[in-house]
Amino acid sequence: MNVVEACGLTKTFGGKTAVDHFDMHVDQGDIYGFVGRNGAGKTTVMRMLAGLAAPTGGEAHVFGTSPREAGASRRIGVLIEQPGLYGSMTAVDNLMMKALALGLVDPKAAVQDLLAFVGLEGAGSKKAKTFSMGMKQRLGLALALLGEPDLLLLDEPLNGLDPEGAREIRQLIVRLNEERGVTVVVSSHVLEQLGKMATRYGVIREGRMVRELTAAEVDQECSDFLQLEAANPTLALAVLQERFGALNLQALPDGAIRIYGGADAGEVGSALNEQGIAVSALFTHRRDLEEFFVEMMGAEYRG
Amino acid sequence: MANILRMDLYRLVHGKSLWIFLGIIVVLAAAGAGTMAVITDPTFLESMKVSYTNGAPAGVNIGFTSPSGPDADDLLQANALAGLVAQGLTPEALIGNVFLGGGGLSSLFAVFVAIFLATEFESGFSKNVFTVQPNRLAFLGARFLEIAILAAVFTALIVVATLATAAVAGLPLIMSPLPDLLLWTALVVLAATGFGMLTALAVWVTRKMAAGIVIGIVLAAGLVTLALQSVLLLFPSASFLADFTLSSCMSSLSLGLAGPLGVPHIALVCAAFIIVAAAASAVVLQRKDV
Repeated sequence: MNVVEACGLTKTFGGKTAVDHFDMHVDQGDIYGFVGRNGAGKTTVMRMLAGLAAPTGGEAHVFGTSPREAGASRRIGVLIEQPGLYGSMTAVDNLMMKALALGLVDPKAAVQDLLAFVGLEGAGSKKAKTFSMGMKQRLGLALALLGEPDLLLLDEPLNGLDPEGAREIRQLIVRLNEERGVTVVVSSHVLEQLGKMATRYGVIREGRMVRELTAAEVDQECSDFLQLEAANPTLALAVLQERFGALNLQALPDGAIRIYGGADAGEVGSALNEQGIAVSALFTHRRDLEEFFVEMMGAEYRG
Repeated sequence: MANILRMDLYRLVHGKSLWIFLGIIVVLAAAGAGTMAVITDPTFLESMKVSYTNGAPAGVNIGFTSPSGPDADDLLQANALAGLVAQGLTPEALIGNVFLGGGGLSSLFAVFVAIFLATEFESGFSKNVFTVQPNRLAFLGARFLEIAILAAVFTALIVVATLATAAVAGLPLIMSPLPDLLLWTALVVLAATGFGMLTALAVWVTRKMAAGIVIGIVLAAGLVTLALQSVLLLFPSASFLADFTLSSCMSSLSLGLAGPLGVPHIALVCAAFIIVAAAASAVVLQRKDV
């Protein structure tokens, strides 16, 4: 079942299109890594999915209903851009206010539970303005979790955190997903942390969804590959497809060909030579997650 | 809507701003009524006359002073106030003199409303509120109720604090009939609510505390009414329009129910401003993203 489904979602501000016919599909139980450059439209999409901004066009459904209805029925928890805290009030006060806004039956118990869950049980009476960035993010996460939502929308929850803080937040997100079955959409530039928790990815570029893929697909595409440049790329591709049918081949816009799946460089070179195709470059490349996503975020992807 | 009310009540009680503003009101009430008691005292008036006659400064002066001591204007003002007291100063007139005539209550209330409402947006907490309460009309309804209740609290406190100070300072007052006092108080609450709603509209449009405070003060201090009156000097036949502002109503109320504007006029003008501000707020809240 799709927890989040966006179809042709569009948002314009004045004459500028921030989100352009955007499609998105998040399944129940996913930790959906939402990746894109600054200004690509991630936050605007998140705000529309949370019901905080109205789309200019297209549709978004959360649990099969409109985002606003899903929010009203406490199914969405959000942490968008900043934790959104009253700095002059304590952590408990901040949580109590949202608990009261939600109409929780026992707000005090819920607040204490969540403070313990995010590891802030000793800091409940401290003013939020005295918190470190990591503590603020954890408190923001606790705010998002009030009311036991089924979907969490987390926009850059790892921003400004040191590696230890980022790791703690990541572990909290994984715990929420595994122990409470919460579906999570999380955007982040910290791809290393994202790679350790996401089960599915969506890549946004200039307001459009470039590609959605599973973590397994990402793993496969991030694996080592052979890259070759031949005099006749089209013919070379056809030869390779015929000769190495079990391998994954990818033609790049510049004419280069990538071969995934553990191909032997010598065998590939020989196969092309036999057909009289001149090879100008042939090398093994190791690609990491960052390179993989940066490539998709920054250039048109042609799988 | 009830949940938003509960959340805001918690914030009001556990936050500082309400208590600071209520404290300011108590201090201003004590200072205002106390000063009235002093300057309408016959002994003080006599000493002022002597100083004026001798041309020498008397007592302690705080602020900008003239080396020649009290002038004819000072003496006239003090005599006018003393005359008012001699004729019988009503509680409404005393409170009006201290808090309403110069826009004190309305300005304080507008600043408080601007701070209270704008902090929600500037802190980003509004995202939490609007996620769980996407119905913007319910949000507006809750906030309207709060503004009206807070206007009543502010007004009740200025009445109680001013009258208590007057009693302690021995300022003689002629009590108005209770229904008149209650009607006057209700009208003051209505006018203050109008200023609160206009300030709220400014906050919801701009989402900025500074803008809300400035717009609130400009409206509440009567600067817009003053500008309108200046413009209407060019159109004498339309000069009556200046009576249809919240500041004009508040100025009239500063003289009690016997002010130049009648009770129905004040009630209708205030209600009209509240309705227009609420309608405009509804449009703004529904159209603007969070």
